[in-house]
Amino acid sequence: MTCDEFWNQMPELAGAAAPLDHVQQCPSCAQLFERQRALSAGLRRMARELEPREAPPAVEARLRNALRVQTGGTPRPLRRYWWAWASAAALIVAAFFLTLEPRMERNRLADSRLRPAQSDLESADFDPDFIPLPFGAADSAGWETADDPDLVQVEVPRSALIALGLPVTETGAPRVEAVLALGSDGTLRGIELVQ
Amino acid sequence: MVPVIESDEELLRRAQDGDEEAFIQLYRRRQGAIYRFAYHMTGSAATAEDVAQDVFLALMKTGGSFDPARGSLSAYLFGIARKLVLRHLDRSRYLIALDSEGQDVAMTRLALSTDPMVDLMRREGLEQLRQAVLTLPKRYREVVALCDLQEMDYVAAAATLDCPVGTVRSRLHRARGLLLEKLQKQEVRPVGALKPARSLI
Repeated sequence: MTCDEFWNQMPELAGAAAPLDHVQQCPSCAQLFERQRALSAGLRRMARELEPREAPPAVEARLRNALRVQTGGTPRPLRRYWWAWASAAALIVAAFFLTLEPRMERNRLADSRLRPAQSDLESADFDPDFIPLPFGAADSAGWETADDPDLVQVEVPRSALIALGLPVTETGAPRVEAVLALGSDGTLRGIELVQ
Repeated sequence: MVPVIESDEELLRRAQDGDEEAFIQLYRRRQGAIYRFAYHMTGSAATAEDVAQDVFLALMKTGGSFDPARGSLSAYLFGIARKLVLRHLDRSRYLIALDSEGQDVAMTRLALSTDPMVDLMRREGLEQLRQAVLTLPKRYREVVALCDLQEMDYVAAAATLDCPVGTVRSRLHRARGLLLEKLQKQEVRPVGALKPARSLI
């Protein structure tokens, strides 16, 4: 058997347990053959190491849900992407700030148009057009008096407002003027839609 | 009494008749291999999870298009998984390219330490091999993942890849040659060695 004939029988020969005639007679092929066998052994070991791995149980639960939806049954609550939605919401809020184009200097309780009087804050009679954030949160009622908010007028992408669930129509200018109320810790406490 | 083991095709037929447990039984039987195939192809557990899920969602919706005359249900599922994996790899090709550079550096560093073939017997050698598989071109990586790592026979692999059996053999041959090259980081190789069995690539 020539070297070519020998190697043309690969890859099946890689699994051969006993040394083959040609290998015993040809040192160069013997060396390469040993490497092929080591490679095959390594691949088998790699396969064995990964053998216990499988899809997590949540996948089965999601498939059951999908199956029940398809067959008209009652699906269980789908929790697969809760974290993704939470991350997306966080990103939207972050994008809120990153895409801001501050058109007015930060006004720390200075602009009377936006913030009529300090006493308004203290009496929790803050501008009723301000929407507390997070929007719809049960504990957002006392936001006005929690600290000493800064006000910033900005333009916000309409899509970001819609994504936050704020009462904005889908039609109109792509950017919406708004006034943000920022807490002393930098968190967004409320928003007023100017337009 | 010996329990009767239903075939994949029988489970699928029952599942198509609305038998949820039959579908889940089929899923439990095949998901592991699909998951591992996707993992070997992408190196990502999250992607492997998504692929495993999407394969069975696809089966749920298009199981009727499975034709037993063209191959086993397992090969059909691997075929779907392969398409999903390739789509994922196409989408993330730039990330993979950046990753590959780092892997090559790591492999070079490891390869300098000792004989990489001896290293294959150790854990770090296996990691090196895993990285080498991940840097193979897709058409070679998939035959390694199917035939070497999933131990699928050539006929089933050919059905999965929708190509002749000879192509599977030649690609596997070439893939192993590339793996050895990557592991050895040497250009010299014996005459006649690592030559594709047939020129079908």
